Amino acid sequence: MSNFFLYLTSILLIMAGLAAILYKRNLIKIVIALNILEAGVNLLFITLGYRPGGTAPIFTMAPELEGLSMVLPTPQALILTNIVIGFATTALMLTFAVLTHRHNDTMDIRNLRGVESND
Amino acid sequence: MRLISLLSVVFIAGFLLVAVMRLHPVGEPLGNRDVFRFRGDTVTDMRNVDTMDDYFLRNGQRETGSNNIVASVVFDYRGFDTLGEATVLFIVVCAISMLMSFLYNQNYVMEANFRGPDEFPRNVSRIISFGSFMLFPLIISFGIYLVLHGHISPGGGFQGGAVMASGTALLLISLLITRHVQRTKVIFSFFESLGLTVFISLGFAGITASFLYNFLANGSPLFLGRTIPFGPNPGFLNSAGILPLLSLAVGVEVFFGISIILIQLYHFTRYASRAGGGRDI
Repeated sequence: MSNFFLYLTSILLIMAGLAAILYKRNLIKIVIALNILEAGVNLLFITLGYRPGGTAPIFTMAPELEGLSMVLPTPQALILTNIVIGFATTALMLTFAVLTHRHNDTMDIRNLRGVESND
Repeated sequence: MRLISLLSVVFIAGFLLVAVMRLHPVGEPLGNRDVFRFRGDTVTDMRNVDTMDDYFLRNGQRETGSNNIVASVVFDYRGFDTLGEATVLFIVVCAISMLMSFLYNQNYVMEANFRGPDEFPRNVSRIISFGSFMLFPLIISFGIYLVLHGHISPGGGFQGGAVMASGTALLLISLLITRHVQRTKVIFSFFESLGLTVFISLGFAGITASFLYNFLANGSPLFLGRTIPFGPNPGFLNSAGILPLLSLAVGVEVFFGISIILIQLYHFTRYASRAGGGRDI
């Protein structure tokens, strides 16, 4: 069970982000919640590629090959992609948020024009 | 409505928990745990390698000449994926520029803040403005270092470009910016397009083998083709073939793209907070 503790941490992050997306009404908070969810996914990927005592997969000034262990490089490359795309989508969502505020005078998604609140 | 949200959260949480219990334990990824255990193999091969990551670790230096295996995966083995990633950033910058295009009308003129290094803006603390003025060249130098050493040390085009763009953010918060937002955008978008164009051109340069083929690696040491043997070494700048060039192209694109986003969002705040609320569009 203790072997899966880090997985549980990333799942907690993902579920916190999902719950915030579903329950928060402020557009900025929804964008932040999406970033928390994304952080959970990134943590899950990095955890998948971990080796105990592993160094970064870089051979410059690395220790001797005898007994050397390196963490997996492919999850790190995928996370590099994910961070850049997460930044781009966050910038686009924030632009939509400020433009929505400019046209509606509110950040509350229940008070936007054309939205019927039924809860 | 709230009940449906709660049920969906609980359902997805349970689904993820069941999925995670079927993963391998933390710290024991699939594949060979003793990748570097045996010795005497100066010519590396696929011996004792049964997963993709171990193949990259053992053959990345021989095939791409890059000490940084993550950089070799990003720019060589998965270079086409990185092209898509750079394209996503480019498209987002285009979308934000279109959404913010009302900033470039005739009614909005940014008030002049910065007239030269001898006259700092008055409505911001002198510590902040002078500190930003001194720090900006250092941040740009560090970003260029990260970009150019992406194949031998942690870093690369995306990280270095983001570090340089943080220098732009520093200039923005200290008001050391130009008032010619339109001219700045035109120049910056030219360099951003140049970065992506250079990336695609380098991909087509090796089209005789395949798209984004690393045709310079393991060639002449004069043209970034120094051969790197398997194992730890101090790192050599003239290795890794087209990896440093691709990294430089991506760094230029990321720096100017993120700078355009930051400048437009900053000018939007100035536009929205001025007298009249900026509602003439």
